[in-house]
Amino acid sequence: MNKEMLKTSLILMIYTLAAGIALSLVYTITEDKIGNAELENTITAMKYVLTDGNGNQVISSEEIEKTVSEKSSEMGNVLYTDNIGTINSPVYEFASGETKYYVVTGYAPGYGGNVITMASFKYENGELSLYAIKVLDYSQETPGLGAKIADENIQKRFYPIPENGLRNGIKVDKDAGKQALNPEDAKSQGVVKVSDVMTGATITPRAVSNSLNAMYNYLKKEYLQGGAN
Amino acid sequence: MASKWKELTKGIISENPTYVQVLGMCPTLATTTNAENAFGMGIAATIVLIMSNVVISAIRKTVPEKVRMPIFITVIATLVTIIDLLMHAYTYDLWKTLGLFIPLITVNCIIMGRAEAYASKNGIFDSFLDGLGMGIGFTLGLVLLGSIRELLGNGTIFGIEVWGNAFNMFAMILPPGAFLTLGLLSAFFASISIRKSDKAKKMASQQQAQKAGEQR
Amino acid sequence: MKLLTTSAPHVRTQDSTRKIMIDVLIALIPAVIASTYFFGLYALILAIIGVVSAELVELFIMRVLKKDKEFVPNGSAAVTGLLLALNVSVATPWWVLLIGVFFAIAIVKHVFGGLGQNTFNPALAGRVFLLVSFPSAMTTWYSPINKFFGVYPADIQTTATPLAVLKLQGFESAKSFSYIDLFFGNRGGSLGETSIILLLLGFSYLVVRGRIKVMVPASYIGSVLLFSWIFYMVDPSKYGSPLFHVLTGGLMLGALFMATDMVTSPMTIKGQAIFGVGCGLLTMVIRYFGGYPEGVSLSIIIMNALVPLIDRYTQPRIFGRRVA
Repeated sequence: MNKEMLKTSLILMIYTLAAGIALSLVYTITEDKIGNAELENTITAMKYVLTDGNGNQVISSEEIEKTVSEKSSEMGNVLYTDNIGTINSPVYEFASGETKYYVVTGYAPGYGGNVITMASFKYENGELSLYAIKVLDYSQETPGLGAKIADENIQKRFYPIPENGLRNGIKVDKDAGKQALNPEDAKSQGVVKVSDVMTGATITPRAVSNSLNAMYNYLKKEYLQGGAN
Repeated sequence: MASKWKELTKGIISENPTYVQVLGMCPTLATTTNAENAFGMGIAATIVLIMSNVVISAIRKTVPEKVRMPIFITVIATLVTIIDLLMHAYTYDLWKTLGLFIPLITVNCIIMGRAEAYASKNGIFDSFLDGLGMGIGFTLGLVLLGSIRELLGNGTIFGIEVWGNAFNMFAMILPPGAFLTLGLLSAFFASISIRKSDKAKKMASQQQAQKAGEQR
Repeated sequence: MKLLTTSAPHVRTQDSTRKIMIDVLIALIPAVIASTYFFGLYALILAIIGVVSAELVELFIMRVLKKDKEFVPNGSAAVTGLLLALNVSVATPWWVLLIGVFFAIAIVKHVFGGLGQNTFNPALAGRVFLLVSFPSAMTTWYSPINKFFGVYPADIQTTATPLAVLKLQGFESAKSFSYIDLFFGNRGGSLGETSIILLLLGFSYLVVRGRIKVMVPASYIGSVLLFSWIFYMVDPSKYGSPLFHVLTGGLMLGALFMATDMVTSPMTIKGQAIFGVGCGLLTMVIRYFGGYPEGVSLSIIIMNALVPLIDRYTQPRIFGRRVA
């Protein structure tokens, strides 16, 4: 073989080797820190969705942290999908007296990518209702349009929803043809009223509703049916 | 010293990467939907650009001509990944905001372009200045575009309300608005350089006429 | 660069341009009168704003920016302004129209080279820009008020245009618009598109004066009839009858007055036929399968982009020479 070709390939190999070593070094250093940062993020979001209207957490912080850490290896695995919405976290189960809370994270396709939402469901007296949500990732949505979903007040249009509203699937008010409802009445019917605050952007709230529907369906049909936990 | 200043400032107007060199169009159009995102992208790209210019300038004598492209890309991709990991670990919130933009820097033509056109042929300090200047020009160019789009499309700049929802033109936030604004701004920059060269020509011919007059 | 030999006329004076433009304005007067009846006083105001602001913008650009001291208005901007006004809904705020006029004249026309050089129909490109920029203002329609210089009450309800009804609810519901209504213009829509009969009246004036390329609307409307007939055979309830498609939406206004724009349509008869068929095909594709209920503006603009290509391939042969 040509001596020059050999020399060139050798140099190329050395550079890629050096790059690989540098990368693995940085990766090892940051691996734990990144894992912690992600865990922190999940815990903070979970604390948010397990807070009642008065700002009090219904489940203690220690319990949340413990449960999240226990299941940290299952984070990210796809648990269920109905081909529109997907659940990619384990079901975090909490109990407060006779009431149970279930927290899951899921996503559905939005305008530019997946919109990821964490939601908490409350199980009390045989009824499974939507307690609270937090939209975790909407970075692919259009600023000024779909990205408005970041607004907490807009997210509040999605919860709480009683089981009557959840049963047939949550719908964005434009899809349900019920734009005349006020936000509170809409929720009791399983309709999310956003047409007044998110004009021209239905794809993003629709993605959130789709992921919530997948979560409800999974919890109702598979998780709860599969026997008491 | 004057030439060092020139190296730094050429990237800001006369050789502005966005409007004159037409480099890095992809992130330019995608991340300028508002001024804040534009700024974040610009800064992140500048940091990578400076680092990549310095590294490539340092290794330039050891890189064989034939494989320089793969080696440059390896260097650039490694730098971007390292920065991505570090940000993920230590500046989580900022990392979340910039999100997809960070890995996109790898394919930003400005980085590769300056590596090929300048850093591989010049000294480390000069390459550093070039990277800094181009980065500043890129950031300013992006922020200008992002501000205009945000202002006309959303009534705000950097999130501060200027005239709210009164005259929002959605088209500005969508791709057509990006292309239109970019085109008009490029035309504006071109007209500045045309006027400059016209002025220089005028001065040169005036000087010549003067000289001819004096000789009589 | 290859020099393109086109068919006559090659020379056109300032004076003859103005004569043509005045004829077009005259031809549009019936439609303006109709809009004042169907949509009231505001329609007339919008038309006037369109015409006046367009000429003012052009005057500013030519005299001040392009430093052409000898420029006098030749009516081409007025035509663009009027057509743009006729293409918007009566619910459109006047300042939205102004933005559209500015975009159409300054950017679509002058940045692209000025009179005779622009690739895209300025009025249509302006309309599409407004549609994307102000989606809710541009898609809000009112039912006709049927009163000259009438004024809409403040709590007027919006209505759906026939094509929107077709798209969302199918042809059975759309049949509630009688063909007589559609022909005379008693339906919701943009200011100029509704009254088919008056558009035809104006159009025939232009034909008589020899100012119009008849092949374009003939092939456009012909291909719409053909395609919609084919689809009507397949599934009447979903696709609507050919006559319905011809009488609704902006097809008549678009085919007769917008696609025939001198500057942005092909030079040869063959090219015009291709252009017309392309417009027809695209219009129906958008109407049937696209997200919008109406596809006329978009299809004409897309075909505008192809006109230089069409012109190139339909060049008349120079006698004795092979086509290169």
